[in-house]
Amino acid sequence: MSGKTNIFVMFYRGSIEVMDDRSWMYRDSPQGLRRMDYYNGVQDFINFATSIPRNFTDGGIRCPCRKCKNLKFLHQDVITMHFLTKGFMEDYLCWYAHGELFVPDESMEEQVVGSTSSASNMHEVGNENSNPYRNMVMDAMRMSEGNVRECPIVEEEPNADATRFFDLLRDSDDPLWDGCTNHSKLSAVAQVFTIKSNHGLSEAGYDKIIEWARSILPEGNRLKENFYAAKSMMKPLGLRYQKIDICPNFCMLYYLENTEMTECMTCEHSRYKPRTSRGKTLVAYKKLRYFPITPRLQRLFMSPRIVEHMTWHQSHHAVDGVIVHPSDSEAWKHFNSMHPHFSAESRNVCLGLCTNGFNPFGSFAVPYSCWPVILTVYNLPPGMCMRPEFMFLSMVIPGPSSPGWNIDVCLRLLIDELTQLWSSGALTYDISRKQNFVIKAALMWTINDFPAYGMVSGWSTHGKLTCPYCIENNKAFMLTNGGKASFFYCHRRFLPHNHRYRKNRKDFFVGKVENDVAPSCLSDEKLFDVVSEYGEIVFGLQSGK
Amino acid sequence: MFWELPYWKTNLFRHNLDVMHIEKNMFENIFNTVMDVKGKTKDNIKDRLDVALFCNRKNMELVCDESRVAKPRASFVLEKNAQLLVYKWLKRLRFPDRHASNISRLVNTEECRLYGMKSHDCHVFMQTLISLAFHDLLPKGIWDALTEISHFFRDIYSSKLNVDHIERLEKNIVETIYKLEMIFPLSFFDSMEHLPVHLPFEVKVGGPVQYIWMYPFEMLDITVAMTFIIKCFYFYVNVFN
Repeated sequence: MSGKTNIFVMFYRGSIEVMDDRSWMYRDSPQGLRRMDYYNGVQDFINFATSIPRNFTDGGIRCPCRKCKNLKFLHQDVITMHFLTKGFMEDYLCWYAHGELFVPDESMEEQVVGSTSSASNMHEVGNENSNPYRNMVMDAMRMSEGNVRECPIVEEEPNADATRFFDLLRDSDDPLWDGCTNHSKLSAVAQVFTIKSNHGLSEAGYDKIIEWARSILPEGNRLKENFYAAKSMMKPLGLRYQKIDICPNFCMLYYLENTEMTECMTCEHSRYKPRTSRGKTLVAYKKLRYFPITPRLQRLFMSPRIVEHMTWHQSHHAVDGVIVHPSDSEAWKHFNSMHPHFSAESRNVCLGLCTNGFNPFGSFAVPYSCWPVILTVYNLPPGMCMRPEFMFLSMVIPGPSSPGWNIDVCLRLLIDELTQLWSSGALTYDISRKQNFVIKAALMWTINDFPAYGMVSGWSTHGKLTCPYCIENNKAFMLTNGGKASFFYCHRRFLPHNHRYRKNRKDFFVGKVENDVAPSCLSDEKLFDVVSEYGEIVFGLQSGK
Repeated sequence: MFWELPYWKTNLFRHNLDVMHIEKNMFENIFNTVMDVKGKTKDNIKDRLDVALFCNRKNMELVCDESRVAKPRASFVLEKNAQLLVYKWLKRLRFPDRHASNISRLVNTEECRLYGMKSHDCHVFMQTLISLAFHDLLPKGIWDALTEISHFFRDIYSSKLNVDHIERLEKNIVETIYKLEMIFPLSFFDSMEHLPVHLPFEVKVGGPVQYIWMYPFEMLDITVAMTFIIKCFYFYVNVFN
């Protein structure tokens, strides 16, 4: 940021004026240079635009510069540069594409609120006997209505979304064939999808089964004829994932400012496979699949059955000195006391992260190590907390080799999203309270087996320095003949000072008495200092340990 | 990388030790050493040399004649017929359904080995069977230590924890490991035998192990393998069903 300030100071010629209106956007100094108030205004704009979570798409916001004209989604730093070099697009005094309203009208808003709640009441009544697939579309529908109420929009996308949802709703209502009572078009497809995914059915197999099912069903049934058609129907439900190219040596992601590059910055490995004579599209060597967590968390609040449990961590009755859930634990309480603004909203989500390498082709097949990164929601009560339904696959890091220490390169996506979820949050519709609120999320800790612990935390976990608690204060030593590290004789110092076992001279190193005290953990600040001392780390092939 | 999160440095602890793997590795070390499984036991020649170098344990040092070197049987290793007894007992063992996999199928009495133990089988063995299996076969002191470590894991796995009980565990585990140090050889003590010292702290700070271990994730991996492409639909159907 300081670099940019310097650039600006070079440009600065005029005097500082405090402007209430937005004339600063199109007014340069007589020499054609940018004024100070222009720079301040740009900062204000960026702050305003980033404070509204809805503005973000794929991690970027719309760039209203003279060239991009609100068509491109870019990172805020890039946008700042565009403003300084290109200026604002014409007639953009009202920032309508960034959440500003043309004419705020209180009465109209109230009206919409009323209609929404009545719609939801109707829905509640309908809930009793309609099918769950219909409910899920209704939930999703309500979400879109909720958004509309908050910000009467401006652009076309939400409307298109809404139309798609309406289509889905109609789909859901349509019975599978005329006179069918227990299956709708959507529920049938959703159920076949479950079977397909649970049993690893191939696409051809799916098509064949559907073909057969359609021949059994009465004439004029509305079962989608093949997998492609079914998939297109399910698409508007959302919860998509992104495919992001990654250097095969895990040096860098082709992401944000590097999207256009075709060669790795560090190892100069090509991004794409050589083009075959027939192929028209470029195929990347390695692709990372990223499942954004925000829409999945939002979805939790859209189901009336789940949302009531999302505040369990604060609402349950905790007995002093008894721990039944991570929310009773010391770390959780400490976290809450450190961040009162976060803990004030009980719907804010606490997450845990787990990664583990495994071979999707079975342990005896070709060696291949694929690393899924999974997030789990700790808000839920014990019975739901670690259920597979509430663990969100966040990322699949492809093989064939494990990313090792370079896992950080891949985690960049997740960290960016988590940072944004922490600082600005995401606008979410809570179905039980029937209101919109800004959801925030925090990562509490990670769960790993020991080799992955090393990858994620950056601690070595090998040799003498294995123990991440004792760090370098441990007494492990290398065995002369065994050639491995041994933690023999390391435990007596954890005993109370006057314990009789400390005086045992016979059974350990001959004649030694243990007088040392147990090692203390590094304090948070110290640890942070140690970590920040490392500075910039180069990932990929050329990175050492 | 996680240090970039603004709240990360205020967390009390950041990464969890995985109890499941610690328990499994510890079980394998104990079982292989006590049952003297070839290639797996920690009580090998190199270790005996190390023991002679670092410790004062006359009965464990190698005995050298002119022609050959003899390795006297250590007190913690079962005799051959005692081993057979254990394997035969395992062969007859029946569990309630779904409690563990059918361990009797995993026993190979001819080779004197267990094949294909899953993490959960190790968990069941560690918590319930280890003290039964070696009862009366091992000397009292060694059996006591093994039983203590088995009880430690049973206590730390409980889903409802009392803080003062954990503090007691924290003290006891050190004594237990001390007892193991008196018995087992040097190379037995790899990092996995050291980490239980820190487990009570972790449980005290982070909550019951059910929330900070890897069992559910490992189970999920199998699902992920099959469904990761259409995960979104899968989620939908599951959650709203």
